[in-house]
Amino acid sequence: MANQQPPVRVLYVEDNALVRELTSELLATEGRQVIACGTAEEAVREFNRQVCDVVITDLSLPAQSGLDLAKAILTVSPGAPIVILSGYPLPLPLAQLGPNVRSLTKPVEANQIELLIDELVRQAAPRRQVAQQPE
Amino acid sequence: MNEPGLQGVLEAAVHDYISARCRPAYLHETRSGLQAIQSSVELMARSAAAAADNSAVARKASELAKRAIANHEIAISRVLDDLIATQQEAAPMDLGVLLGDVVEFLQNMLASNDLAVNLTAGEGIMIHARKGRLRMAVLGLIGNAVEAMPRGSRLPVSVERQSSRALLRLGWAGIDSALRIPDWNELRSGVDLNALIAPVARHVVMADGGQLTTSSGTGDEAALSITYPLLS
Repeated sequence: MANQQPPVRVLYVEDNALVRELTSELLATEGRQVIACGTAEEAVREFNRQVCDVVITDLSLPAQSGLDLAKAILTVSPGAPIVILSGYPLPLPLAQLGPNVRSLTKPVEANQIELLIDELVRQAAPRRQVAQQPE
Repeated sequence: MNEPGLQGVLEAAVHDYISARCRPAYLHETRSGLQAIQSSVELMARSAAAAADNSAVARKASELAKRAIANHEIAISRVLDDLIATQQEAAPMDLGVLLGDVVEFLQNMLASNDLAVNLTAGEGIMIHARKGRLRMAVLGLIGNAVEAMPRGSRLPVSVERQSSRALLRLGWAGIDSALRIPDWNELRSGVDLNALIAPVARHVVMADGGQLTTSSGTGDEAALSITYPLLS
């Protein structure tokens, strides 16, 4: 039997319901599963509940921001690949958060997000294998 | 130049300064709308290119595109209302709704400065004021708080009823000079527009029957309060 890869699980966080629905539709393809959330708090719960290969979050979220979310996830999973989306280039020194944290400026083409997902998943491949091994 | 004329010039200058400082928030608002429109078009294009019959997806994408365009029109109108200062008459308005809108609009700027906002805004706290001018004043004051805390912090903001008054409160730990209202001699000696925001905001508030006061505690905590008579 061929060694079939499990789908890449993308945790996608966006408070704008319309953008969330559209981007989820675009990113959910064969080989990729999207878990969509509207708040950082919901995303942290999902991240703790199931294996997520990449986190894509808007910077601007109600209550906790995308940056708060990134920090919370990196606390429990330092190597987690994270992409922060923003309407303008971030003034933050993202490099301080680690090489696995990237940013994209809106409006962004689905292709750009997909390429970044592929790159980050490749980089995190050893971590992904460990996370998906049965206990 | 007589006094009201000078105040008008100062207010216009501060309005332009605040608009320029809020550029990231305007960009975020605009580009988020464009994101929805672009994504809906991409979805339609992908469904058209797919080998299988994707007419249901195409129809859904078309509906989402229409919603995205309508939402974007509303967002752009709000941006233009802010950027093009127009003369307004004072009218009944909800102070809590205004604060909620301002915080939502600045969310991206606040997040990128690592500032956590604790918003408590009661509903139906009605006052009589010129909404556009007050919105710009609150945008300016929160912007000052952002600049006063370049390394991030916590910013509690609230609107509540206090007997016969409506109270809007901003509190922050940081450099309290951002709150201080300089006297006229200081202004004449030359200060940047940042320092003009608080006095102009006070003028805007007082012109509609309100009060703006600032206070600093013994530590780093500082607070700014705006009160208006409540509309019964």
